[in-house]
Amino acid sequence: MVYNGNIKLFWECLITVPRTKIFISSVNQDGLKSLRRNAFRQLTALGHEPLMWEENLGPWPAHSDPITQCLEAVEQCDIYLLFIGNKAGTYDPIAQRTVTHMEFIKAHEQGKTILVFGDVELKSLFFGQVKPIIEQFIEQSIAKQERFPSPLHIMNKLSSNADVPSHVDAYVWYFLYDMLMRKVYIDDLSLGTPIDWGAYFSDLLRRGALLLPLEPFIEENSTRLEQFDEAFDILSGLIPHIEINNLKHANRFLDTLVSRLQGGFIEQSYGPYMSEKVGYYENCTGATLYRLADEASKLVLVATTGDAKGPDMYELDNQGSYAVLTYNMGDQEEQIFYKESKAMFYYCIRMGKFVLTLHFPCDPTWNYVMFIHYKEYANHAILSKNPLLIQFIKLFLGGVTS
Amino acid sequence: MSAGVFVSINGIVSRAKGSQPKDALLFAPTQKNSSQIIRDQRIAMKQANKQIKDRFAQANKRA
Repeated sequence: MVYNGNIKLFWECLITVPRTKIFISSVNQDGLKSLRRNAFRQLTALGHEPLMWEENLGPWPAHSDPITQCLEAVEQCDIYLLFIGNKAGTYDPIAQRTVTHMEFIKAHEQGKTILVFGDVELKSLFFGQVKPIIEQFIEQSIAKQERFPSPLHIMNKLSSNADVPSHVDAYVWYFLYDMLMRKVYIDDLSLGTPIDWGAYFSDLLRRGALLLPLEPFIEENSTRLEQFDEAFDILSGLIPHIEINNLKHANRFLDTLVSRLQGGFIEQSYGPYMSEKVGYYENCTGATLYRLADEASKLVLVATTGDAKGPDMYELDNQGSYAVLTYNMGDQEEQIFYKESKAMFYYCIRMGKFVLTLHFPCDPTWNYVMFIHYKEYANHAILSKNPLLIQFIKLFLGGVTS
Repeated sequence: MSAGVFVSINGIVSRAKGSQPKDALLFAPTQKNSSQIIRDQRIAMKQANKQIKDRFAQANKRA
């Protein structure tokens, strides 16, 4: 419908403009009731479309599952607004989460704009007293059981700790900690002090207004990204059909490669939202390239660069050589090796008759115990840093015939 | 090669058990190689791209 100057049509157009749907979530506790009510009224007056259990969501027919209905309403909203007080609300033992927490997870998973207001006193207790206790407990659990503790374990730990304020439900602390892990900001809520919703949503509008004009650039970048991806796909399909006669300047080939490979952190991850740095590796400092000799019983050195040194050849039964061990793993295989005495990671890649080894100096505080403990994270850190580059090297060297 | 940590000492490869000399060459089979990681990253990139486009379409939709 388009407004053409007719006042009646103007109002009809206004009515059909989609409004911002705001899901108002919180535990139904005394201190928050008037806050919810006020928020609902003011947001409606501002022209938005708030959704709230007491006003326009519930109650649902007896045969329908209220949790599912709530989660569906979250799915349909544009903004998820949450107030946090000292009560946790209904806990679902199967999900091991409260209903409010499930709504929050749904909003987060759906990529909704999430606005959280937490009682200032509660926030101060959480950051000052409770968070360090949770962190210490998580650290101990990971060290002992090699896994993240369950919400129930965290709650039990907090309930049994005399330093944790008992007037707050233990689950609330876990919920706040989960928000922190998901990097969700918690705004201050002073009970009794009204929130200026007009100003708050004006700021939200300002942020959106800054981003919306970028749409054509984002769209263009997105199209370019798809084109690069397609080019990668085509090259990956074409290069294996090409025979490359030789490497003209093998040393320069390695130099170019080594200068591009950067170091990074080794991080232990605890699920998708949290990780901890446990070490690092430096930029690539050298590389060797070996090739299977014509008589197929040894690997001969083709080139070295940087601080990498290697003998002219290795017999194929020399299991002390990382190049040989990798060659014997099979074509396209990769392996990270670690040597404490050299404080070095060796990233070895086999491509056809070639074995490329990239040298990455390792965190000097590391030793063999650390490598054994954090092996998967060290492997992942080095392999996932720039796999695209490695993929091209594999494709090119795999096509070299002599 | 199965999971776990292996060690090469004096040209002999075995499972790494107990303390290890400093010049031991240690290695642990990787769960994913760079080709598999690339595949995962490309899938994630396409999903993110789609989500951005869908969100813009939704933002620009008029009643």
